[in-house]
Amino acid sequence: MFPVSAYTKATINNEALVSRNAMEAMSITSKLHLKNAPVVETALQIQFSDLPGWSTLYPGLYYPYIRERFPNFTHLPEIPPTVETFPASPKQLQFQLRLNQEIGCAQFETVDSERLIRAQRNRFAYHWLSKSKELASYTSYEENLEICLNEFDTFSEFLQANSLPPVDPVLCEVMYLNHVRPNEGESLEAMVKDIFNTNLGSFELFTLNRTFVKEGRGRLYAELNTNFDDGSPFVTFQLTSRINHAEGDFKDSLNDAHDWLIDTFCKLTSSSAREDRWKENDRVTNQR
Amino acid sequence: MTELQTSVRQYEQIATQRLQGLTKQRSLPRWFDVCSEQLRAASNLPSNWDSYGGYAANSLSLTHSSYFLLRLVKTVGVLQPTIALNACGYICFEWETEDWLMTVEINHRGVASYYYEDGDYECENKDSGEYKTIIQLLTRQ
Repeated sequence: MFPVSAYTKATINNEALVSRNAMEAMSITSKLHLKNAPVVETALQIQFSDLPGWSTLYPGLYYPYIRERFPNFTHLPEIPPTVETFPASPKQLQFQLRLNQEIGCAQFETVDSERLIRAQRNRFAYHWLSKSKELASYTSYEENLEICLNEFDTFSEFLQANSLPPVDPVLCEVMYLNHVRPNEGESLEAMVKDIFNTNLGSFELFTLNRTFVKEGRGRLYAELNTNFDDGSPFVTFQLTSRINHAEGDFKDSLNDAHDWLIDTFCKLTSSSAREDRWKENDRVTNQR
Repeated sequence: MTELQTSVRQYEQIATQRLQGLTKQRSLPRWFDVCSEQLRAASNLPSNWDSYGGYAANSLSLTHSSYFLLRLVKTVGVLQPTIALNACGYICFEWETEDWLMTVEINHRGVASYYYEDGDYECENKDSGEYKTIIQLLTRQ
């Protein structure tokens, strides 16, 4: 017996994917509007306690629930669990658990590979990926949040139908990956100086990593790295925001993680760069 | 099913050559390897490992337990615990000496529920974060 909602959301388009939670999401105060956002990937993830008895069987049982919208199925190694501890783990001592790779992670993609869902025994993730190098292809946080929440509802229906307990979220994560490319004739050094207010001199490669802590309940990672695309240098600018979720609606923790990430993005980048390069406050499209 | 990999790098090592001769370097307690193996063994147990429907090790409890173990080995004076899996899939640390005993259970949120008994004194509570209360109890002798 499959839920009705799996069939009502039959077509792969944004209108079909964004539905019932739209009004709630629209009430979120938008803080940043970039017409030409440099985002190439964003992910919204919910980590929860292991679903007892989860096995390789369950991705197959879940597939009919989302096949109409995410028909391409792949089996991946399990993504290791993430825990944020305060203070961080002792620096001089590394201790890693390599977890069960047999159970793995199920990935379901849309036909155009623009959106995907990952589900495993302790994690549900929604990703949006840019299909082109063109700026302005990014949609909005509100739209991605809506799709994520709708698919999470469907996942919860699937769990209930298969006598699995409801999820117990412990951590919410929002990730944005940006590709920042110099303007024509502009050096990478000049671009970095203009955007990040940092004069690194003349460099071949660079890496800048920073972490931030929020009231002992969250950690944010900002990572800058040089990269090359067909010989042309650019900078990857990744922001990952994690909030430990204790109680209440996990959507609030996702929104906290997102708002913190946007605040940090604004603190690390110059307002002139946001206006000139990414068209901040240009309301032709409402991007967040 | 699962594999535990441990690597220990530069424990309490002072990076500069200049200070190396002045600072006594601490080594890991010998029981670290034993505990690592016990954690690995617990993570390998399948569902129903106890024939009473016991859960396999919870991945988040395991991860928090590795952090807890690191805090223990960083603290001078902590004795070797015994590590085991309970029926809920949570990792438990246990100490038992002639004078006192303590059990600690780490759940999927990293919250440690503990019981401590020393003669007529006993206490039971929860601890998290840096696990300061538990470590204080473990080093009070």
